[in-house]
Amino acid sequence: MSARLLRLGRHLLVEAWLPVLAVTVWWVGSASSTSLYFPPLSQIAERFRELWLFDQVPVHLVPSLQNLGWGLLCGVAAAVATGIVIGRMPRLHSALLPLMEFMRATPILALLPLVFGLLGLGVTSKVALIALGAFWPTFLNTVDGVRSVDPQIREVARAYRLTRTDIAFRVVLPSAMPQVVVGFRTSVSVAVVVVVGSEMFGAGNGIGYFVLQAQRTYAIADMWAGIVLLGLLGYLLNLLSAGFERWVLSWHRGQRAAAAVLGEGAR
Amino acid sequence: MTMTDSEFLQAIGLSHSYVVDRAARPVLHGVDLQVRAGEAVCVVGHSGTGKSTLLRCLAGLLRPTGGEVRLDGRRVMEPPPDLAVVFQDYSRSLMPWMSILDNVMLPLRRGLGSQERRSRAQQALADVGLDGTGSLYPWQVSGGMQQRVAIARALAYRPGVLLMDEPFASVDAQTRADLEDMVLTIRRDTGITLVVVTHDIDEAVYLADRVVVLAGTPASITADLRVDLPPERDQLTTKADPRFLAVRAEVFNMIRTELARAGRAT
Ligand SMILES: Nc1ncnc2c1ncn2[C@@H]1O[C@H](COP(=O)(O)OP(=O)(O)OP(=O)(O)O)[C@@H](O)[C@H]1O
Ligand SMILES: [Mg+2]
Repeated sequence: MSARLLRLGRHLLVEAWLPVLAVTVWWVGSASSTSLYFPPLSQIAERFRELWLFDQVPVHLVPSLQNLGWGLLCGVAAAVATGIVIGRMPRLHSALLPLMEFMRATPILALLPLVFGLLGLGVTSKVALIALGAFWPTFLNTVDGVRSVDPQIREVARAYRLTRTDIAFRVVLPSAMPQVVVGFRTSVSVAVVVVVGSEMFGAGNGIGYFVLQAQRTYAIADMWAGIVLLGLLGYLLNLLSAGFERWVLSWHRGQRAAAAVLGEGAR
Repeated sequence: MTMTDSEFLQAIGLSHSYVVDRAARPVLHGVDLQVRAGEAVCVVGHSGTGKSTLLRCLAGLLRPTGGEVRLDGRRVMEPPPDLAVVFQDYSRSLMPWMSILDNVMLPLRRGLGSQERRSRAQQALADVGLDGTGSLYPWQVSGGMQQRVAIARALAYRPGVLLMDEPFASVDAQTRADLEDMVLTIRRDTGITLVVVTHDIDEAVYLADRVVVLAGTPASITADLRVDLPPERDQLTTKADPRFLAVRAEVFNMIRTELARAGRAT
């Protein structure tokens, strides 16, 4: 137990020394700053505490997180479902491929005016945009994962006459899962960008709105406090999705480790 | 049933060509094989003659480019129910995301309660000597154990027809003998129809009522030998029986002749 704590402590030290150094340099270097856009870090920290612990959390953070959650949920669920279907239809897939590549390559924020025009300036538009942004990475990776299911595994599924549902949920989806998760993690980071971007365009609350508003009113320390909050949020989300990956893909890591030990896997 | 007994599982004028670089590459040509219900047939032949191809056609997994496969009078277009396959590439045929027990239970999800599935799967794992490994993942056990998981999966399915592609290739000699005897016991108890591909001539003769030799390019059945031994077999006495040795020698000669002929051809 204490050995584990010790290891954890050492791990934290290794991870933390550079950020700690960076913050210290920033703190000391900016202490006597009079530059408009780079206020002293102490001032930013003070504003951060006043704003985000926890006065403005319900006003700005909660709506952003809600939009993020709903957008991600809808986008990723739709991506996995359609990815499984289209991945199993090679003809349809090759017909749709150019279109899909085009859609993916279009920066999602370019659609912002269109979507706001169509659906109004409310929550619906934002969630729709986030969902659309989150959709593509997960969708394209799911399609790839589904297409690369081992033919031998497909034969087993046919020979033993597995039901369609079992093939989808017990064979194809788990087999594609390593790629689905890669897509999901990209979707999360895209979604965060879209959350902030959509709030800068048309909104009366949210962190994106807050950051832009702070800049416009020359409350630069507030602006920085918002940026730092977004950075922390992104970092936390990444930790969460990495943990999720470790959890759903434990079999995959184990298999790869075993294959590495045996050379080429059991032949 | 209106047809005679000898027509339970049959390949009729079966041919198959793979398409390689846009050219047809014939592997099987005019294969005729009749397997009676409850009969055990072993297929032997060199590496690359088309034994696995034949088995895939019999299983309904591969649509032959010529001729047809019939099971119980019906033309086989898709894998029939009541038929199980043990694949040659056993390690790739197990799902790495499922425990060994879940792998064995997976094919039983159509029409069985979870209690029944579990007990059948555990029984099958015990039959192949894998008691207590159910909670491990396939990649946590040795190749020979993975092969036995694949066999257990087929047994738990309780098929009427069992097709096995070199099922004992990776297990040690003692386990192999045990598994051969287990297959014979299952045959005696259930009357299952068996088609087994093997490289091992002793094994073929020991398991089979008939041994067929697949040879040539494209391959067809060049010999069909009846094994004239009583159904009760024993690793020691049967393998010393003169009748066993006679068939063994005959198969051995067939294969050697084929090898020589192939050598002259190239
Ligand atoms: N999907 C495929 N596409 C093209 N050629 C194939 C394919 N599968 C098998 N072949 C070729 O067909 C021939 C017969 O293959 P098959 O796997 O049936 O042989 P086998 O008798 O089972 O060999 P082994 O004893 O090595 O398992 C081989 O030459 C092989 O290269
Ligand atoms: Mg083979």
